Amino acid sequence: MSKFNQFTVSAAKRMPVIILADISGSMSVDGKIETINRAIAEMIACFAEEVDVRADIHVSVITFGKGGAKIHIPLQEAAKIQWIDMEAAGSTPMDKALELVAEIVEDKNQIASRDYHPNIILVSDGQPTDEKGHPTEKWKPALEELLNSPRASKTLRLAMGIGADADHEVLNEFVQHQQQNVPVFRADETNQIRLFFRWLTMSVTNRSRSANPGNISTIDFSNAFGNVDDIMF
Amino acid sequence: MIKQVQNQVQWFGASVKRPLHQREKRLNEDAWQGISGSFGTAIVVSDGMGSKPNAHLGANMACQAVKEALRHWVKAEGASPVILLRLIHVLWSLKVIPATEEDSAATCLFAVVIPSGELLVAKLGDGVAAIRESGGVVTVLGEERAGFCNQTTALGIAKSTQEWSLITRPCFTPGSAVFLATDGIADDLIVNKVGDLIKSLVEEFAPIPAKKRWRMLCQELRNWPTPKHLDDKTLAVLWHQKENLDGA
Repeated sequence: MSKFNQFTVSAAKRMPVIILADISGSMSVDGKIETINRAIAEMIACFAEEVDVRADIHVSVITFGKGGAKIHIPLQEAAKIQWIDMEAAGSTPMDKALELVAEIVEDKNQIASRDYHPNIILVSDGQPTDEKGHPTEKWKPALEELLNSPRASKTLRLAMGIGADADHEVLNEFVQHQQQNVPVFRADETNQIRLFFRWLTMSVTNRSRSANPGNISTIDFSNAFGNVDDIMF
Repeated sequence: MIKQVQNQVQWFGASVKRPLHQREKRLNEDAWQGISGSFGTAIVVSDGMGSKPNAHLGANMACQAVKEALRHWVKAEGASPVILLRLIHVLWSLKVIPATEEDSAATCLFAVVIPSGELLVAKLGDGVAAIRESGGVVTVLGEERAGFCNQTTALGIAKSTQEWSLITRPCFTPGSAVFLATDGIADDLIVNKVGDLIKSLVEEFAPIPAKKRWRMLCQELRNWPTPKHLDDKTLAVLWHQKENLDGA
């Protein structure tokens, strides 16, 4: 046994992946919520099967819809997650989800300073609203607080807008002020939702296997999706 | 009396490549030095930032820069520690040429006991720098990291000496020790066990003959107990030997 055993932590560093999923009523149309459920479940299953990783991948899913923002899956090791499908209903209280994710990221008990930076992925098909479904600007101070907080500002933020009604102003703001330019991914068809999550799965697993899991290569969805298509066929 | 203090200040250290670097035959991107001279006795550790092409050079030049800066700084009686830090930045910048500073970014942690017997410990970037007094009181330099691992300031990144953490002590009492380590070690340490680790290093490793001690330390670092550990690992210890301890 190592002489240093008694002075060191026994857990590997973690790579957190936090999904902010819009589950408002509009997500029930055109099979969107079903596709997202399937895509996230596949992603978690892929993470769980990864053995040659140098960082343990931990996943959390925060939903925002009927009843506000909720922790659908608490942050935990992918292999331990029992996926439960999300159901779409209600309005789009995105501000509550932004507040909730800021709380989680700032909590050093949930994500330690020794862990790799969290990946936060915002997925939405519409405009932020209040609980009654009225358009609101409440997301602005919530996002500002997230971007200005000491730790959340150091995360990698990605966004996917689903369909023509997605509010790209909000999503673009969400991915601003990062080390590199990160485009918002537009999913006009449900198949593209699946492709986005496959790209995300590959991106996270490739980093978790790499010599420097904290390093982010250039994010270029067009190239990434080319690779995904190759795998699919 | 002053010469006697310097004679009793001892150092040792070790550095190993990360497991992947061994397999890929890449260079160690950490560096360390123990040095004695007219400026006193010092240890330096540095971690070249893994994503940078000249990380190995940057870390080695950080050790060289500290050594040279100390020589000049000690000669100017009354010069503030801030001048020493500025000198380190300037010398390091010169030494990494023709590479750019950005491509050579490296953390810098050092401790020195100058001829007057005063102790100075400084830290720029990730890693741990801690003092264990003879009575067991432990002081860890700097605040806890604000972000996440691999997000650090360093030589080549820092824009001001205010990004350094610095502690001085008027004397380095017998039985006291300073421990420096790069983040490959620091990130996996249990915070409230740092003092026990320093005690163990001084009591168990310090009395061992130098070559054997170095081999044993390298072996321990290669067998690092935290699962999936990745980084290069480097540590250095500077201690004021109690009279009843044998020489290092």
